[in-house]
Amino acid sequence: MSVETSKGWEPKIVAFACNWCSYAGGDLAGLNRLQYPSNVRIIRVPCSGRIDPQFVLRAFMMGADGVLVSG
Amino acid sequence: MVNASGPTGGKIKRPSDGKIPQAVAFIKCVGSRDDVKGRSYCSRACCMYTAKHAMQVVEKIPDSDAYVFYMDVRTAGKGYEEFYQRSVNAGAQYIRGRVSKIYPHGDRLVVKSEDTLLGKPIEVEVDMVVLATAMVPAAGSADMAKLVGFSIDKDGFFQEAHPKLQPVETFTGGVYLAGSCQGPKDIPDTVAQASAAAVKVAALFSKDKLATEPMIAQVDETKCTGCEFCIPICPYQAISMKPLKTRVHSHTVERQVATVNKGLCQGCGACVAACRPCALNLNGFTNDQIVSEVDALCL
Repeated sequence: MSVETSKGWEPKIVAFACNWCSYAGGDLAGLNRLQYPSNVRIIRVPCSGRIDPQFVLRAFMMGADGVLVSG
Repeated sequence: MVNASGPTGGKIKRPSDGKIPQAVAFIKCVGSRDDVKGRSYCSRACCMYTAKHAMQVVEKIPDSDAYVFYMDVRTAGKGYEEFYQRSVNAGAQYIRGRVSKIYPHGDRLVVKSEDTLLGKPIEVEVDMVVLATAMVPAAGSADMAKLVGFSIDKDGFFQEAHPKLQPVETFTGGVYLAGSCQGPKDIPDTVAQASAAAVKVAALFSKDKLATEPMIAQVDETKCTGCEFCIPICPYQAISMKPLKTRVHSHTVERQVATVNKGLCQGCGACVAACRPCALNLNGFTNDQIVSEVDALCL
């Protein structure tokens, strides 16, 4: 499922972002018109405590190259 | 100092020897708008109070000079630009440039700078130097934030919930921000924000019932084994046990199941991740929903 770009191979990363800090940070980046790479796919969660280890395993099972848990 | 009931009885005097200064230099943006000093923000209120102080020096001390060394004059506000022009017309001399050195010369001070509009170095001899220093968070504000449980931004000011849509709210329910604890601010802005915060509190008290978020944890009582694993996990003490009577093989059996207090639950979902029999689920962020999101994003 990796992203093929002109620069070559790019990993695809699933990011679980806490609604109150990391996701808010991403939102703030958007407000400030800052760009971040499109190979990070963000899933909003109410709290990093909500993340079941099964979600991480599921992401790897479905072919993600990396999982970022942030909160 | 210019206050008639102040320490100098309304006279502008040098704090060191009490002499009335004939020339005063004002230096703006001291420690602010400078990445090297670690404060990249503009303190916002100083342009206006420096204009006021410069005007007071020129008006209160006969034949005096007021020099204002500035980077930019920022006068965003109703009537502010007009006030700045008044201080220029009153005789305050605005010099665009950063001060490189101040050294004593007799009992006076020499301010060395560059006039970037003329493109040449400049030296002025003054009796007193007034710094417009950066507005910084109060000492102990970080401890205060930790105590109440809200976050601080990179400069140490309290973080609002949203810079545009929730400028007085914090992430902690029932706590609102007003004034320069949230960022550098002048008095009109502080009054406006404090009024907004007061109305938010009044709105909270005007209702008989409190509307809560719909995203709260829910227990599937048929699946709950009563292991009580979720109770210590919950940071809000929202989970307790309750007896549940069920019919099993024509007998009534009473067992303990978890129950969620809807008022206390903040919908963090920590209990859902911890629940071994998958009896708990979070409305709006159910296991199925998040797994579907993962599947969709991995395609």
